[in-house]
Amino acid sequence: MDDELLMKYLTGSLTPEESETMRLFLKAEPANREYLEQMEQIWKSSGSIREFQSIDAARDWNSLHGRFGFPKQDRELHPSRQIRRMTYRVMRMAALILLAFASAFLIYFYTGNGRFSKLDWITLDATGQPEEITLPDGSKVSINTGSRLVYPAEFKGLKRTVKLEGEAFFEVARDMDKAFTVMVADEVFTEVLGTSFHLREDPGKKRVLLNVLSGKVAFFPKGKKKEALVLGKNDHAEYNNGHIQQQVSFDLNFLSWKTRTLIFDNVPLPQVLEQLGKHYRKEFYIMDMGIDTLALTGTYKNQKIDEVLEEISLVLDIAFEETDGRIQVRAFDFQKNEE
Amino acid sequence: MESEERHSIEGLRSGRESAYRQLFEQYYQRLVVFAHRYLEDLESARDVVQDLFVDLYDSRQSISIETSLKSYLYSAVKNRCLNQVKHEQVKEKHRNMSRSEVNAPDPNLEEIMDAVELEARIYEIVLKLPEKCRQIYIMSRVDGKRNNEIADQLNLSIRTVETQISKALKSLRDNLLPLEG
Repeated sequence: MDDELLMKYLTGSLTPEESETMRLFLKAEPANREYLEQMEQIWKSSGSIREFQSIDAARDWNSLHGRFGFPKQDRELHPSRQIRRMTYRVMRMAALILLAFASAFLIYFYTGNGRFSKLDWITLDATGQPEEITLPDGSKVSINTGSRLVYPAEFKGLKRTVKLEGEAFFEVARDMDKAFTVMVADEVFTEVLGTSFHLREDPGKKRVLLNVLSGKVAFFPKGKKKEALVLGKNDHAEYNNGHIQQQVSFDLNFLSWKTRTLIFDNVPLPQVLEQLGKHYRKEFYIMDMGIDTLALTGTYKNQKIDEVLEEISLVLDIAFEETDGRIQVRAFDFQKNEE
Repeated sequence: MESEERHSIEGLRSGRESAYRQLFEQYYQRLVVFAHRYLEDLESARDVVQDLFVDLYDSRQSISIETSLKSYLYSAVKNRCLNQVKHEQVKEKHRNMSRSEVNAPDPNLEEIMDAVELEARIYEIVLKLPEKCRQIYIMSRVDGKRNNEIADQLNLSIRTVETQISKALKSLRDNLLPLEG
């Protein structure tokens, strides 16, 4: 049964001829009858959509929150330590990155069962905008919106360890005695001695992306140092489900949230919209099939989304229409806009 | 998903805010809809579910879940609703000096739970539809408007309305069939 017939049946708009077609279809096989019954069930169960809509889980959680007794989290920065450690901050050429896998010890360590009590750790959440922080050793970290960095008030012990959820850009102060370790997704570690790089985890996909901006990097899974990849400036690699690979193509806009610049070099429209969507936090929907092969070249520095969309629509002859945070993209209808 | 569930239950026992928040985000709406089937008004339904979450936290040390987290929650909500109804009926009984039995309704938990779970999945799928498609599907199925009425109201062709409803049905079919049980 084609979708149109099904739709007409469910909405009660079958013509007599279509009714007959349907009757024959149902008679032909029991599986058809079963299919129709299931679609009818779905149609029937759609009745409560508005009821679900009227229940605002986020709002009710906020008002409920006070009735629980959750412990508070400490978000203060420690300015005195920043100034003291700033003097050690130097950026140099050679660095080694070790990619180690989660060890039971470190997981034990960070679930609060180890020797570091909760009070020693500081959590920084970037809500609504990116945040920048200088760590106790003078390293600088920029955290993207929606991401979180957990770091200690002081880097005690043999390593400098922080934990990242989401996306951040690191400028690590050089310390030959203490490796700087970033723990991501409870599985992946990035160890450096002093360099600048960008790390991003894809939640739920078990994928961690690494871009090196300066310094040299040796990249290898734990225990396999002989197979190391040596990466330098502008190289990047991906850890995916236990496998490490150097990437060829490059998303020029991976730091757009920091540089506020978007660059497109003959990029197909679907990818353009994906990057715009990430940068401006909107959702784009292509409504016309013909336009998804269009490609865009251009640079947009520090511009508001309205300006960017206007320029793109002129260059590619497409139209953007926004409703409720979702933006529909269509081919420009010259006739319609003649008024 | 067993280990994931054990992880959640551990989080609840430890009193971790993120565990409660995640559980709430996942189950709140559907549990309220479920409670609403037993209770007359939505407000009471929300109260029952919210009280359950708070009580869960207060007695987290002694959490013992034999079946699944899902069954536990639904059955806990059902029991609280029935208690409330019984309570109301008893009060009513005393007020009216009636001699009729207090008959608490006890429909099959699984049946209603499955029904609500399906509705919740439908809701999730419909939310992800493109703007116009979702709007049209809701006007058609929920508001009961005819295709030409929708076309007039939204200033579209009947063809477009029909195509959008078909798209919505396709999306629902692709994501839901085969239906369980």
